[in-house]
Amino acid sequence: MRDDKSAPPLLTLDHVSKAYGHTAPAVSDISVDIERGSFVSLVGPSGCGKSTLLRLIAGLVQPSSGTLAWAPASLSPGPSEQPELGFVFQDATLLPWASAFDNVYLPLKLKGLSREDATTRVTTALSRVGLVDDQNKRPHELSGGMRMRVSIARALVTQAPVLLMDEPFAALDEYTRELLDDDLLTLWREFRWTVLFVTHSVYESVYLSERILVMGTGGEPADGGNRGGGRIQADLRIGAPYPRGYDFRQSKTYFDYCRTVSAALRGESVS
Amino acid sequence: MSHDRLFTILMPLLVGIGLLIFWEFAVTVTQTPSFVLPAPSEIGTALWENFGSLMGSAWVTLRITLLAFALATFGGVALAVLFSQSRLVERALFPYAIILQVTPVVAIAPLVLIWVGFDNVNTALLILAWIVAFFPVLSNTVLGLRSVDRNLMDLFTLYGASRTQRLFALQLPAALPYILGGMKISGGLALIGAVVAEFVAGSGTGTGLAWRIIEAGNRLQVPTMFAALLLLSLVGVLIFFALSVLEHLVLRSWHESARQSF
Repeated sequence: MRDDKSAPPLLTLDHVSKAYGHTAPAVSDISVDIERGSFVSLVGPSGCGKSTLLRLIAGLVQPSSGTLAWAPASLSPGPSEQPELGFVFQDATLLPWASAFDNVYLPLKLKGLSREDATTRVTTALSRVGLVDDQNKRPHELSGGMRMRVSIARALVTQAPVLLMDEPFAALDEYTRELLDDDLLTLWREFRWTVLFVTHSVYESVYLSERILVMGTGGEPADGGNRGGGRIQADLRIGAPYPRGYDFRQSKTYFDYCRTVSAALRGESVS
Repeated sequence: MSHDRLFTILMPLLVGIGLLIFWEFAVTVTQTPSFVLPAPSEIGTALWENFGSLMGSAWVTLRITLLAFALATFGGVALAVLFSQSRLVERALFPYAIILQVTPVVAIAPLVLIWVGFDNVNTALLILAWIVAFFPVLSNTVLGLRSVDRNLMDLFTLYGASRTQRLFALQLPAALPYILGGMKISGGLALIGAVVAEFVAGSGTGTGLAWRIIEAGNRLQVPTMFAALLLLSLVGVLIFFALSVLEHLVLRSWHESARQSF
């Protein structure tokens, strides 16, 4: 899905660490490149710093040391140091008093776009996630899966080139989760986003991703510093072609990849 | 109407009627003098005979209460918004808001009366009722503005929202259940503040329900005292009920607390 494998990376993290106060670092010495248009998953156990890494990339927290650099061509107009980003949280993070339409309209409203001017874009985004008939419902009137779809539509409506997702489907049942995985892949292939997807599910990461960054808190830091911070234990490529579907989920290739990622999670060396 | 709802209304009503019957019976049998404890029938008669003047007094008390409540709501929310925008302002002013709250209004009342002058007793009552009613709205609104979902705050940051957009599109709507909760407490306190202030101000006021209670007490017209007291309770219940309805109307479409009530 990448535009050009020889093109400079969209995002470069160089020895990035983050500690909150005087506690042990949440992430430690992360160096990685993210290619434009790629689907990258961050997999790891709870507390290994996946979400912190995503929040660092989103600019919601600043690194204690190291640098994050976006490709200059990707930056949004103005003084911003990052491109426009869509963010999907673990829960749908919707305004409970607003309808599905108004929740999706929110990013455009904050940019000063009038409701009339935004209607087509909002309705299109809602129809892409199959919720155009439910646009007047408030979040409490929607199921967990539908709320998540609204959240994805809200990211979609911004037309941001980068989508950051923090365990977005973790709270959903298996069936809904698989449906949304497929929807997400369809949207990714259509809109050519760069997706950074945090999950603790090995199966989900293998199904979705081109590349998996396995995180953990083990291993010696490259700079000989303190242990304890989350770091990247393995950087794995999932070479299976898209589109992926039920057949891929049942294939030997899929289970082989899952075994490899699981081994990397346990800290075993994988090729 | 469901059985549950019927039960909720009927039970307190039956208890109330039972108590009134017992009260009437006990006072009659024990021949208790009416200046000690009047029978409910005597209180009813006093209310009927003084209905016009008592309702006039109730209106005076209600007017001061509502005005103090409105000012407390506006002032409390405005100050809380100011606190949410500047930690420095909050740290500088919040201790004084607490001091104002914990100092008994009875102790401040004479001072306020001297400052505004005995010609402006109603202004003094308003100030005193406001002091009592103001803090719950301030405190609840501050809590509400601080309790906004962190992910939603982050989302607004990612979308480049200005402070004003964040305040009006996120913080204030999210704080509404807290603000309305504060208003419910404040409504009752405004009434208490108005009555206490009128008691302290004494004869200068001359028209509110509190003064009618003092006046009737001085003349040993205890049934009239009870009648005024009854009206005061009714005013308090009315305010609480009106605010509960407001809370329900504002929150019913999205907040769990309002969907479960009524």
